[in-house]
Amino acid sequence: MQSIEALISLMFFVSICAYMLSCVAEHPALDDSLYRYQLTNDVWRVLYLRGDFKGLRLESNDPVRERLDSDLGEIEAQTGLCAYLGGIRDTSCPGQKTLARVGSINRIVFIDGSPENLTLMVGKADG
Amino acid sequence: MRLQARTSRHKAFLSFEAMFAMIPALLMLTFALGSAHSLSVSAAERMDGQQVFDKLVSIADYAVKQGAVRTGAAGTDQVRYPNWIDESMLDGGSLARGLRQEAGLAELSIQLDDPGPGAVCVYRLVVIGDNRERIAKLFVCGE
Repeated sequence: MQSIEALISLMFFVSICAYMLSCVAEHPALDDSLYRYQLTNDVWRVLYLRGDFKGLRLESNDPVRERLDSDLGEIEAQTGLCAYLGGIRDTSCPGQKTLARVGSINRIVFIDGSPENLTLMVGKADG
Repeated sequence: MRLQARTSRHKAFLSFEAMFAMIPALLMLTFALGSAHSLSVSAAERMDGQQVFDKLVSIADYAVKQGAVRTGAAGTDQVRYPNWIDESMLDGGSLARGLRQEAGLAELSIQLDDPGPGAVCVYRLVVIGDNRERIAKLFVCGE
């Protein structure tokens, strides 16, 4: 009987130890949700300030599209952030399969002269 | 006489048993107190890190929306251009000095140059130049 009691006590103690150690070992990452949203908005804002949405057309050989692609590439080179523009299916890293999500925002842009809903998704390459 | 001797021997055994029972209890108590201490220390460190990070994020947001942006006159109201940085506002470090005091940070720098490893930094994407010709990163570092 005493052995069973001792065993139960030991199991209880070991489980508490394991829980405490896991709490000590765990280091949750910083909460950067607001910062990630701001970065996504920055990508949009930079593209907007550079005039990349002015007179935007769907054709891939459109000079505005080329400038947009060039700026997306520049952003990716500087920050490692991959941007994907949903409405016009444009991305700065076409070969990248797995991305850690940074954020996404919706904006209305004139494409081919008519207002279209455009989603900007930003991600970061894993590793 | 014999009965008295047996009773006192019994008491001695009881004391030994109590003493041995106390040892694991004390060990457990020591371990629990040590764990609680290390938990509270790591929680305090995490909170401190989060606080500094949040301050840097707020300062960076202020800098790219108001503190270091280009302004221009539109009608009678002065307009600001978020994310279009006026480099002259960063010269001399007066913006960083003022914000450092407000935020209660020991050190703060706001710059376009990469500060290198070691510092706690956040960056924001901005454009610079009279014709917004360059895309750059604005680094806000502090501790």
